[in-house]
Amino acid sequence: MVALLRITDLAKAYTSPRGDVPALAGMFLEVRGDEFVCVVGPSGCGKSTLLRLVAGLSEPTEGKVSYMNWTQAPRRAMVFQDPGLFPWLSVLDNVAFGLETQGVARDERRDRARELLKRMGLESFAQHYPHELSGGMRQKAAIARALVVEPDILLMDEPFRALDAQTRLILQEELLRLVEERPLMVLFVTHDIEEAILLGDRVVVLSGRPAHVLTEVIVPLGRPRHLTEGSHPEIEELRWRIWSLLKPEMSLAPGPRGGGA
Amino acid sequence: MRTRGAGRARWLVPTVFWVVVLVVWEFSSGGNVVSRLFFPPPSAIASTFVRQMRNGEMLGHLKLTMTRLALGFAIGGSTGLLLGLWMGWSRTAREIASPVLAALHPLPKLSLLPLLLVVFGLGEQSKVVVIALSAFFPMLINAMAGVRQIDDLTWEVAEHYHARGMTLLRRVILPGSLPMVLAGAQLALNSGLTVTVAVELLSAQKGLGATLWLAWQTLRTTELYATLFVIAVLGVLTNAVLGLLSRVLIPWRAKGEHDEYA
Amino acid sequence: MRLKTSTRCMGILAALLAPVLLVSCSGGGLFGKAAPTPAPVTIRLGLLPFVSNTVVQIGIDEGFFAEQGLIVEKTIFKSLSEVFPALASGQIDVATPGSIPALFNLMASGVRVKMVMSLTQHVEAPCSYVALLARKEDVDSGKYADLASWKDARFMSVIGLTGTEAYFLSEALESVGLTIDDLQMEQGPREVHAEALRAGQVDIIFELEPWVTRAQSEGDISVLAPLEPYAPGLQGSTIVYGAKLLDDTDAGTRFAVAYLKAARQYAQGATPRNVEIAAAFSGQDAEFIKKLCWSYVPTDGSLNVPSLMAYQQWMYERGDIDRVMKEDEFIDVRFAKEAVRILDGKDE
Repeated sequence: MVALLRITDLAKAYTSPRGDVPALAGMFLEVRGDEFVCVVGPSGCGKSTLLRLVAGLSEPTEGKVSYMNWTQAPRRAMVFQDPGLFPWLSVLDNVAFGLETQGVARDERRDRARELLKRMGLESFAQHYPHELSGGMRQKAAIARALVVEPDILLMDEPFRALDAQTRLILQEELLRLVEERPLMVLFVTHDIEEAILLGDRVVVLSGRPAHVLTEVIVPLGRPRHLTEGSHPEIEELRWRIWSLLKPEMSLAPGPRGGGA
Repeated sequence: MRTRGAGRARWLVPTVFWVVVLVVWEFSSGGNVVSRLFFPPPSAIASTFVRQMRNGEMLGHLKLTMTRLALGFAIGGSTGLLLGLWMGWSRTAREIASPVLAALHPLPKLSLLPLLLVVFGLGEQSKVVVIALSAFFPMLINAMAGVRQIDDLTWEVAEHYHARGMTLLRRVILPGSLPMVLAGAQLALNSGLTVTVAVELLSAQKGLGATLWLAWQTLRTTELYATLFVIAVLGVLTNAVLGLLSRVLIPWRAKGEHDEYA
Repeated sequence: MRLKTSTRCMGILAALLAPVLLVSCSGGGLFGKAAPTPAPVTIRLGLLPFVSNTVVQIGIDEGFFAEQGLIVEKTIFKSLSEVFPALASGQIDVATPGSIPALFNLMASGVRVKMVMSLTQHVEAPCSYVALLARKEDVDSGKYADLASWKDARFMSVIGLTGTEAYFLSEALESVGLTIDDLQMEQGPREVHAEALRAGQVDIIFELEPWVTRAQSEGDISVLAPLEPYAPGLQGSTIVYGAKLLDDTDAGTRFAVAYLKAARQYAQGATPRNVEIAAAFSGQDAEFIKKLCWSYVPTDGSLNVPSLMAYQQWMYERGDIDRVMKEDEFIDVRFAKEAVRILDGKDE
């Protein structure tokens, strides 16, 4: 029996002074426990809403998020678009924060956080404050904070959006390496089709608002994956296929643009 | 890094400027009787100051004023801090307390002094209560604003990792509001000092404010200026201590951001 | 332009009418040998919001200053501390200060300011203007009748007790060989004295009018001892001229004439008109004003010089003033004398 995340007929509407604004409606999705799924869609379509619902940061208006065949309730950890590190804590304490709230003793949580930082090549910055780090390192520390709690499901909300191209590539590789070291479910929201294809086992394409699943595309790349190995012709083709699906949604997408709500 | 020469120049210009001001003051205030009386030369003020420091008079007043200020600040500041943090964190607390506080805040606290004298008696208590009240509001308002300006993402991260209770207070609420809390402490100290001196002007036999009052009763303006000088130095020192404290307590701030406390 | 023209017209009109009005108001003969149409002089007057300052207000309201060709610009000061800088720098020409050390130090410093006429004097009268008060039961039982017993009482006065108030108390205590320092003295604003007395926090409070009357209004506080007998006739507040009037004998005299006319009307006591003016000036209730002990104001403006010299000596010994001045250094009686001569029409 495979562990599953099952999203059934999920809907979410936000109330605003001018009436309810539906973000999601009639969404169905199933993700396996060791699968890397990327979610793309027009900006402002409700991709982030989907993640927030799975993370339990907000409640659905209709439908449900259920977990099947897990030995225990799956632990979820989210990586936000902005790193969201606490400026007043050292990188080490930031990374250990998730453990601290679980009541893990100080020495143990610091050991675990330090060990993870070491694996990610950040150990020399453990005692630095976030403002002393580059944007890429900050996001890396945010990923470490999510991973340190050994989540079953990693939720990532356009985590590399604000980074420059080179840094993004490095972090993408790093993420692939980490995920391949310890398999877990990743739900990765992005507006970048290429990123979705490079990282995911499967790409879920969402419609404009209110979002539902338009189609799903299996990425024909195996693992371990190396992003710098040179281009694959099938990726180009996939990219155009997804783009042709998204393009009409883009022009139709109603509501405000920008910042994936 | 600044060079040594530049560092010296930064001190030099203001020092020269103020020395020139003092010299001009010194030699222009001998001109006529009225200006000598109300703007005595710095040398006369200095000699009065030295005399009052030597005979221990000024130190006694200073000690008393500082004790009143410290007590009032400790009582008013700490209650303001606690209530402010709670109001920043809890919407219910805000809704209950805000209207009352908004109504009380602008009241001139000094006008309550006679009332407080009746309630708390004639001794130090009533004075300290007025000083505490004047420190309470800036502290409360800044602590509340400090908690409220913690950004949504920080709250979201805290919620996502199920932070609550003491961990939430220690890791999010206290450090997140600390810069504003320290700014509030500075406001509270300044307002406390102003009110301490004013209270002493109104109702004390000793203390820097009482000295000011006596100076006006006898029109001994050198004593007036010497006392004002001590009050000014006290103000500068308390602000400097807070500036230092903010450097120590907020090491995560980028360097330039500290200047506002200096 | 139109505005300017009309203003000028009014000015000319006023200038033409003024002498007519002045002559008709003054009832003739008042100017005696003085010039028939003195040029209008503006006098800047600094008053304090005390009932005693009503004397000057009577002069304004009844037109006594106007008939002397004086245009009075009145400023009400909240405290004496503000009066002295204004007077010394010539921003006001006349003030009505109480006899606090600051006034003497101001005059001793060489600033051209002098006492010219008396405002209030603390004479013995049926009612007391300066008094010690106590709870009625203590007064009735004679608990503190013996001054020597004050040593065990708790007193309350204003903060930083100085000036004539301290002098009165000091003189009273001297009669039994005590000093102010022998008393247990609480200090606080006047507003709380009576409450502190009622609450038993203190036993004897030290008051000036209108607080003497106010404290007694509930019937539970009485006068323990009037203080006037201990320094009878002590000069209280005075009319003080700055440089401008001291150097302008004519204007100074005209001011003195108007002021003494007002003092004579004030001396009639709580007439309806005087009460009306006092109530409007001090902002107190007219009924309350009627109950007050009206302070004594000499109608000839004469100062009690011996009391001022004795008081000066006392302040000097206390270290409140830097030196004791000779009479002519701080007192100028020319104006009062000339004004009395003009008013009473008699020669010197």
